[in-house]
Amino acid sequence: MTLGALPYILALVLMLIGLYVVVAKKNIIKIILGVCILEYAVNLFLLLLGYRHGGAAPIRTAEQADTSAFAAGAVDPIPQALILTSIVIGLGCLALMVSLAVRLHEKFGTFDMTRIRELKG
Amino acid sequence: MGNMLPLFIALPLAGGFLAALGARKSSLAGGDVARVMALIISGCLLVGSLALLGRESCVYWIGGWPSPDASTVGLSLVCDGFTQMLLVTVNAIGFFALLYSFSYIQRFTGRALYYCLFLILLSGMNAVVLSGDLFNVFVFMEVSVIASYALVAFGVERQELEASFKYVILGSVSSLFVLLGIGLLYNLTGQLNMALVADRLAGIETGPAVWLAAGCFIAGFGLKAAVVPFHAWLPDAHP
Repeated sequence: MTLGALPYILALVLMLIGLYVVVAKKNIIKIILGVCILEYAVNLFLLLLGYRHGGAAPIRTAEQADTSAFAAGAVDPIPQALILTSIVIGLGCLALMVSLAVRLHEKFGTFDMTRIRELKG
Repeated sequence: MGNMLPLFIALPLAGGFLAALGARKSSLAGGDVARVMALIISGCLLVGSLALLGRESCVYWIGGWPSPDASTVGLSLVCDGFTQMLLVTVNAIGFFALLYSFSYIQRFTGRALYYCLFLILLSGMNAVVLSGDLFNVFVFMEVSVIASYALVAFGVERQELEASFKYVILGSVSSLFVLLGIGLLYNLTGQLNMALVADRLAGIETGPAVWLAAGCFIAGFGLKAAVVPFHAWLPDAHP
C-alpha cells in the first residue's frame, strides 16, 4: 500500500501549525513550543524525503557483499544523518531560548509578549 | 595552499573554547588573557586571508576523501576568487570590530566570555564562506548565529533580552526554512556538494520544486541578512 503525497502534505500541515503558533501566540513558552513544532515538522519532512516503502535499514553487514543491490533496497541514510545534526542544533537553540525566557521572566515578571514591549521594532 | 583552509575554522574555534576556560578563573585576568588571544588570532586570520588573495582556487577534502565518487560523501572546503574576497571582508571587519570593542566591553563583567563568543562567531562565518557543502553551510551558519544570539543578549538587561528573544525566534524560523530548502535540493539532485548540485540543476527542468527551494533560501537567508521585508528584528538587535 502506498500513500502517495499524503505524508508530505501532513508534514507541511504540521509546519504551518508551527508557523501559526509562532506568529499568533503571545505567550513566550507557547512561541518556543511553536518553534519546536516547526523544527520537528522540517525534520519529519527530511526523513520522508529519504524514505523508501519497505526499504531496509541502511546498515551494511558482511553478508551483503553487493553494494549496488544493497543501495537499491535500503532507505537513504543521508537525510537521517542530516536530521541527527539538526536535532542537536535544535536542542542548543531550545536551551538558549528557554534560558532567555527564564531571564525575561526574572526582569519583567511575565511571559506575555504584549507586556514585554520596551523596544519599538 | 589548500591545507591552510581548515585553520580559518579551527584556530578561532580553539581560541574560543580556551577563552571560555579563562572565564572560570578570576574574571579580570581571564578577560585580559582572552583579549590578547582574540587579538592575535583575529590578526593572524586577517593576514592569512590577505595572503590567500589572488591565488589559484583550491579544494580541501576534510578527512581526505579525494576519490572520484567522494563528492557524494566527502565534505570539502573550497577557496575560489569569491571566497577569497569574502574571507578578507569577514576577517577585516572582525579584526576592526574587535579593536573597537576593547573599550566598549570594559563596562561589562565576564569579558572572557565575550571574547569566547566573538571567536566562535568568527569561526562560524569563516566556515560558511569556505564550505563547499550545502549542509555544512547550514551547520556553521547555526554556529555563528547562536553565538550572535548570545552576543545580542550579552548585557542581560531588559532591552537586550527582549531584542535577543525576538532575534532567536526569527533566526530559528529562518534556519528551518534554509534546512527545508537544502532538503528539497538534495531530493532534486541527490547531492549536497555545491558544485555537483549546480551541475545537476543545470541538467533538470526548472519545475515548481526548484522554485520552492529558491523561495525557502530567499526567505531563510533574507531573514538572517535582514533584507527589507524581513528587517524588523535588526534595529532592536543592533542598537
